[in-house]
Amino acid sequence: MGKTQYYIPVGPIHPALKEPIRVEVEVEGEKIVKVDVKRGFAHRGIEYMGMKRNAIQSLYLAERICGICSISHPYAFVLGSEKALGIEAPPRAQYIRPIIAELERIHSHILWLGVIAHEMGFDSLLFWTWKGREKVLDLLELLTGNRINYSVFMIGGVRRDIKESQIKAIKDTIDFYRTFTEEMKNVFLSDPIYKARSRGVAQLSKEMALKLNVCGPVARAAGLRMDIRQDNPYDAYADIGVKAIVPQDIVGEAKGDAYDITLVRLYEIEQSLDIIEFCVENMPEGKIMAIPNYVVLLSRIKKKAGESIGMHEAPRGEVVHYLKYDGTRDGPAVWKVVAPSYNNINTWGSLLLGAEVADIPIVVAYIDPCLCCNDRIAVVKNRDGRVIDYSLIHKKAIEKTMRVKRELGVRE
Amino acid sequence: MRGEQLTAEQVLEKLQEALGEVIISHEIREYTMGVRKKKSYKEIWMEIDKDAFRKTVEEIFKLDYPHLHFITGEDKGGDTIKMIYGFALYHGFPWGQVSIVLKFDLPKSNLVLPTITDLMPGAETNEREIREMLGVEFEGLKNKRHLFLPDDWPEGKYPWRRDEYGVEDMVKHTHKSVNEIRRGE
Amino acid sequence: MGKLYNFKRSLWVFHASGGSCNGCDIEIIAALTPRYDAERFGIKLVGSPRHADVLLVTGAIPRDFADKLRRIYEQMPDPKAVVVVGNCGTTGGVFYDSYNLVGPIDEIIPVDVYVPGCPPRPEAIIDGVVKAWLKIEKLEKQLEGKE
Repeated sequence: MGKTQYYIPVGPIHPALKEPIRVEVEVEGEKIVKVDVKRGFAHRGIEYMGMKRNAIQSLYLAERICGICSISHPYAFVLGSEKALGIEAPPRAQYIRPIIAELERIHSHILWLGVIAHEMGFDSLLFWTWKGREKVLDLLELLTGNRINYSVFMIGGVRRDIKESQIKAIKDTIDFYRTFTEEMKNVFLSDPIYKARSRGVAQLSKEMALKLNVCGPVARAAGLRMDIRQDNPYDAYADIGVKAIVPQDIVGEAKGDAYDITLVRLYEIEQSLDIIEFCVENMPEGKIMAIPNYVVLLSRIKKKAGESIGMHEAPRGEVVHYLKYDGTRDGPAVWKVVAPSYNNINTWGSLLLGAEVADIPIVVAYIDPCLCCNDRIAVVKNRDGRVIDYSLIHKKAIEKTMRVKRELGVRE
Repeated sequence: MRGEQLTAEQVLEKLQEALGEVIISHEIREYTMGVRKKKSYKEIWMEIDKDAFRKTVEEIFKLDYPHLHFITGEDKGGDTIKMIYGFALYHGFPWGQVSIVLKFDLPKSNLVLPTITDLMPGAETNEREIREMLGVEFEGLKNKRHLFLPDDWPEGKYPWRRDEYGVEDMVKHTHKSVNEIRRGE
Repeated sequence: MGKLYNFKRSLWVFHASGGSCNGCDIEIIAALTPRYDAERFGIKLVGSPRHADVLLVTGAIPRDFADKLRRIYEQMPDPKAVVVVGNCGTTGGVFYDSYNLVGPIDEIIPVDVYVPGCPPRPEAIIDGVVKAWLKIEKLEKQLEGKE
């Protein structure tokens, strides 16, 4: 008695999430008492299509699983294919690949920092971070020919070489991001309002992280030292000896909340810069493709049977591709894709319970959900219920930020 | 929850001790990586008896709390579906992650498997996906709603099946192939 | 390109993502950020189709999304224009033989402008919106003429 429960569907379409997903929550006052996540608004059946096409076509399909991780899926796909088919990429290609992959990590992490700032109501911060992000997109365009969807990886190598003139551009970009990351660290980590809005929000313990099978920055923020580049290294990462970035190494303890994940992502940008620098300085000479002719490559694939797991650490966590070639056709006979958000969305249910309505945007955004990766099919069902649209929740999030600001006595 | 780090050989030995006959065949695959500093890591690939699946998973959980890479299945159009489970032990140890791939045949006449969500709540996503994509029923899985497919998805249609339950008839072609245009279709 | 002279307010845009790969969606957001800054022309992304003049659609439209998309289109006030961003919404693109896609978009709702590319650059998206703007001006003139 006296308790009124409201039902709030969030999504599937609203401007802040950019992608369709539906989170249904029931609230009592401001507290969330029941959560239901409905996925599958972007499922395209990519694995099904890939099992009918040849390996190079499937590689292009893998690239279009997600436009933000548009190098991570091809990376896992080519690694898996190379392991299954016994092809080894030339040393120079093994150094070019991590450069592209790390540039993608930089742009993806900056994108997330902008989104989380927007969710808290700091829109000028969103525009400032995204302005900085354009620089890395420029470099990617210079190296690969496109801002997004680079089409640069191939089974047994890469399709484009890095020239001497481009190396200068890479070095300039690294210098720019050294300063820019320092500035971002200042803005995000020392701002009292940001800290108040993110400390303790979306807190995930180490044990829960294990049980919910999460990966990537979400797991690392909870203190799990897992990173495919460290656990099962490949390409130039094997030479570098990458270490997973966990909050306990930086500030002494891991709380696994939205603040820690910001910390992890910011330090990972610096780590990426180090990796790119190493690769540029130590890049071996030589060819870039093991089998430069695609017809020869496809006929070799057709003759060979094998299966393997291809893994790559994408910006959001591990991308796993299981591939089986059966020796009868030139494409994968079985293809299974597991993207990081597939596992990381598991956290929403438990993290939203007991949280405030104003924290929904932060909890939802903190894993950096990438639903294109996750879903690959779509469903929208209409349900009755009192509809409070997302813009209102976003407004509440901003109001809370303002309230925190007043309570902390921060002047504009 | 985490166990003491073991090598792939030691893991296999422990599993063989605990399971015995159940392991039909096994293989340790070694992959060498790196350009300047070559080093290798290992993966365990096992073919097991389908009735011992749950016991095998329990034994894996005794060694270390694993990370579930994927669950998938292969349908060649015959009477069985080959189920494939990919686990990883000792994630977080440099060069130390040991992937274990379990494979077994599941007859289409009895597509039922015990759930592992009681051991790992996060596996719910994977099991729900396999349930709708291949039609494998998981005993003990609490949430059986569709994950990716629409709630009004037709009964008895499974996208990854290559038999009469497949989805060939639901495919919409938006492009015509060169041959189709030549034939005047 | 014609002159923009008749439109009496800034142009508001609603963005619906229907099973796209996110590439186009990110470029749409990038078009609003300082490098491209579409807002200086008054082009603004809004949260509800009821406020919007132009609908931006990305993706090849999964099975259940078709109905949703029709409803979004119907909610928009006249005069309105639809811009399809990206190859997969235009023709199905790389997802041409999926069991869950019912696109291309012009089979579901009327489309005025196509912006091809995988993904198109932010400049191209802004150009597409401007073309839709011209179309809306024309429609508005017609509507005024009727009254």
